[in-house]
Amino acid sequence: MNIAMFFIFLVCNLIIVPLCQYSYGNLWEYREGMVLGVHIPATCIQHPRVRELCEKHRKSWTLFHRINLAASFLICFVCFLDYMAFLIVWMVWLLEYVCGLEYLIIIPHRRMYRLKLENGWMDERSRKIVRVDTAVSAASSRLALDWKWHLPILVLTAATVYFVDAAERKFQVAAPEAWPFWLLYGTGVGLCLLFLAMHVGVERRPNRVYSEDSQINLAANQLTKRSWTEGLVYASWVNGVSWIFMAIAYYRYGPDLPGAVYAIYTGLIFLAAAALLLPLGMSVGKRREVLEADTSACYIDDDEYWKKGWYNNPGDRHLLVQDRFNSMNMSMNYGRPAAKVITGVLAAVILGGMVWTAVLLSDFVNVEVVFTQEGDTFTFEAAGYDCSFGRDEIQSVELLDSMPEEHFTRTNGGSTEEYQVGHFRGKETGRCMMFLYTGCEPILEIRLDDMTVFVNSRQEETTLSWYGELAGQEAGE
Amino acid sequence: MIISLDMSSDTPIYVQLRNQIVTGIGRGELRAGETLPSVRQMARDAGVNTMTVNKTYQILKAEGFIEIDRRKGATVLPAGQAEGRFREKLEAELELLSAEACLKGMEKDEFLGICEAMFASMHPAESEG
Repeated sequence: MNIAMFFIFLVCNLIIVPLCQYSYGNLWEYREGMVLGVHIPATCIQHPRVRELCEKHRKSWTLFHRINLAASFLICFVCFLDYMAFLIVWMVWLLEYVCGLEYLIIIPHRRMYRLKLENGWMDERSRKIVRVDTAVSAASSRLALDWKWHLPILVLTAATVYFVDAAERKFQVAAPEAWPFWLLYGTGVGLCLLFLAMHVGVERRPNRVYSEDSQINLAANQLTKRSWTEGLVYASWVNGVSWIFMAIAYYRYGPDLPGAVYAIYTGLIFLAAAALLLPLGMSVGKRREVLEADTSACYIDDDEYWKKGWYNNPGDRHLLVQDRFNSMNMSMNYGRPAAKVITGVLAAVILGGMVWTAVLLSDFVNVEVVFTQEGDTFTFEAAGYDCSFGRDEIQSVELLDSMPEEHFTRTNGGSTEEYQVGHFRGKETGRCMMFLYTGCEPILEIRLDDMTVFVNSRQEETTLSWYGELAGQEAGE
Repeated sequence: MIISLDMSSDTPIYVQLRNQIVTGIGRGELRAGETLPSVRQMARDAGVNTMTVNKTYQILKAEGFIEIDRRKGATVLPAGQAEGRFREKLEAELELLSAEACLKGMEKDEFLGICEAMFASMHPAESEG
């Protein structure tokens, strides 16, 4: 498990850092009439203060990413020591990285904007001016892929509800084992819907005017919209295929899925992410080529609305606009109350998710198997998982020196080198629950009507006393 | 053609839009038969209400500069003959401009020179088809 976790996080980290560095990078270069996200006349680029700010930003940006690339690599080794500690360290690192990234983008931008104000490098004529290229607007419906490309895969993904439902009945899957598959089903369909919604959003995004030349505007807008919509369609299809594959495997093998199925599913999910990002990444270079070849560039100086480092224009009806610092990204217009509400809700959901995950994982920090008896009902509990059964459900109770010689697959629970807790499936045993400390003997095997429970304690005497109580009840029957 | 709308101007947006489209047709930047953006798309790109664009298109249609078809949308019409009503409007506007030019001390030749240069820059383009 540790090795799998190490590689999953390593690959993620090694994608996150270079991707952000590449997509946000080179703000110190003069592009589209801007440097550090601020419009200034081309004649001012050689101003000593501008050069100083740019050079300082370039150095700190490069250093920040080198340090974080190394840190993201090194922290992955912590998972071999303690995976809980690793998750905490990883989240702290991610928080530091995101905050550092925003700081390094916003602060130099504000300094440059202040410098622009001090020197009066404002293009008053272009303030409050909105430009529309009629040729681009008239051709707008042809610039992006049709959103209907999402429909077939969305319907197919949603239709896998048949496989999930049929597999549940075929393998008599209980709710605790089934809900991860329903969660994956919801994620598969939800992502297809999200990609469709984003596609419609990109299609409706206003076209930008970069140049007096309509051909340049057409090419630049088409590159942006086409790459976004193509990426979203590809990602939707690969995501849908990955879940359909998983659903068919679930229907065929039941919840005890072979490791290869999970490996292929994970591989396809990574492929979906690549399918979304690759067209976007490729379009950035092409768009730059198109714009740099332009000899009649015209830029709207709307820096006033970006002066804080984010877009705030109450006069603009658009909620989503192209990000000033990353053309692959979109930014919200905080001049509209809806943007603040959406950001607040998203922040609450993310924070809630983090707290929920932390609470869920904290159960695994000090796993204690607790046995209780209330009347005719016995309960074993550990790390948020519990198993209650009545006296009349017990078919047999045995003391084992070791676990049966068969392969058990965890379907819902936690498994480390120290313990195994939750729902499992064995080739011979079938559905079972485990509350086990690794290396502690003996093991109590309780056969119930619908499943088997394996339990032990760190102390041999405790296990024996549980056996006494359960076996006594069984004998008493 | 590139339309520039000044959001801080006292001139209403629909008037700015109408004037710029007419000038664009006059200068040949918009050809006869060329399709204009749909009302929705123009409003989206300009960040204005669809009612504003709709009003502009209706005025342009009433003035005979464009035609609106349900399927094809708004298309530019070829240059036509000046109607009597247009002549009256032109004379009224020219009268006001002439009065302003006169009151500001402009000579007749200078005024007519500007008019001539402006008129010479107009080259309405016929349909490519």
